Amino acid sequence: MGVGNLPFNLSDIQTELGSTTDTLSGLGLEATPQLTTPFNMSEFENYVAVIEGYYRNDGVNDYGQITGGASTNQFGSGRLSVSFWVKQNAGSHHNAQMLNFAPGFSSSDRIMIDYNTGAGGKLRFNHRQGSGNNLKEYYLNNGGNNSKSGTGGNWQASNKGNTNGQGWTLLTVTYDGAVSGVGGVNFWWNDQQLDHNAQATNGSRSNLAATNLRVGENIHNVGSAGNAAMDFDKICVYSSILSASEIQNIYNNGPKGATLGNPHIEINFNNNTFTDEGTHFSNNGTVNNGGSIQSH
Amino acid sequence: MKYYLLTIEEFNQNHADCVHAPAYNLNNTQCIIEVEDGEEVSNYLQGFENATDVNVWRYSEAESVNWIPSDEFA
Repeated sequence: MGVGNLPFNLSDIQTELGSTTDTLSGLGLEATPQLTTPFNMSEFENYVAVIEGYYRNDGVNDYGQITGGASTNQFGSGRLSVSFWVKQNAGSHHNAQMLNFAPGFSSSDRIMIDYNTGAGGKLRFNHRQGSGNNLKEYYLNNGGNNSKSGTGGNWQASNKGNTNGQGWTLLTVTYDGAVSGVGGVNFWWNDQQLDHNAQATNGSRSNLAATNLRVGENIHNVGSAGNAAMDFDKICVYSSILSASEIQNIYNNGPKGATLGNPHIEINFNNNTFTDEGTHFSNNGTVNNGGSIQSH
Repeated sequence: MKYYLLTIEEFNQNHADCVHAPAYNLNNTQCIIEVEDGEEVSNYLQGFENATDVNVWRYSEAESVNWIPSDEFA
């Protein structure tokens, strides 16, 4: 029997521990409740309740956003990895801007990770600099990616592809900025590295400060064609290229599980808040235009 | 949450103070508002039970041209 965050009696603890004592200290608890049962877990010292949450973008015109990122940490200058969990909820097949990192709020300079419906559906990473694109695309429904993603076609709610037991998919992009263009980009679906089988566009680029992050929408727009009907959780940026075994560990841990070490950015939606538990963003995030934080 | 398609005139007259910013069509003649279940909305063009229904309609072949910008990176 597990003791949850519901009223319970000393007898429950006795049973749990197989003990015959009926005092709190005898049961090994440092407690400050009112000594009348039933108790709540929250009455006990050192108890910190965590409501595990995630962000839901309903796909009409909403978005999540966090600002105040340190300008010294930039995309394109070094080696990093972005991993995040998504649950596809779109009732129809449409584009989905998942993450936009940018120094400002214009279309021109931003890091975009999105899903595009072209050619039967493709995941894309774009380091967009000015009007130029460093774009790398991955068809989901042909070659080896068919079985790796499990979509076999349009990615939408009725065709989520390969997920964990709760319908979540881990997406990971590794980006070695020292390699020219998008040659240093790789994309992973869960613990499977996708085959690059589509377009790669290599434009000029320089480093971009990830001062702002928008979730579920283009950073410069609201209600665009890319408004994602998706759930998001545990958005992390690591200051390294994650290995296959590291990505496997993150996948095995699940969206509520532990991260790998201490990510530079770790966006969580616990206790009904949108916060960076890493060291990058100084502000709390906001949910806008109907986006909502839900409990797992 | 429920969603309602309104003319801009109806939105400006009766719903400009809605909690969530609306989604506008491309020529700004109509918009979709999002309201709590149970909230009364009248004079709407079309009602939707959830966001999925909105997008199934909005991304349909007939309607997408009115709602979806074609210049992806504009």
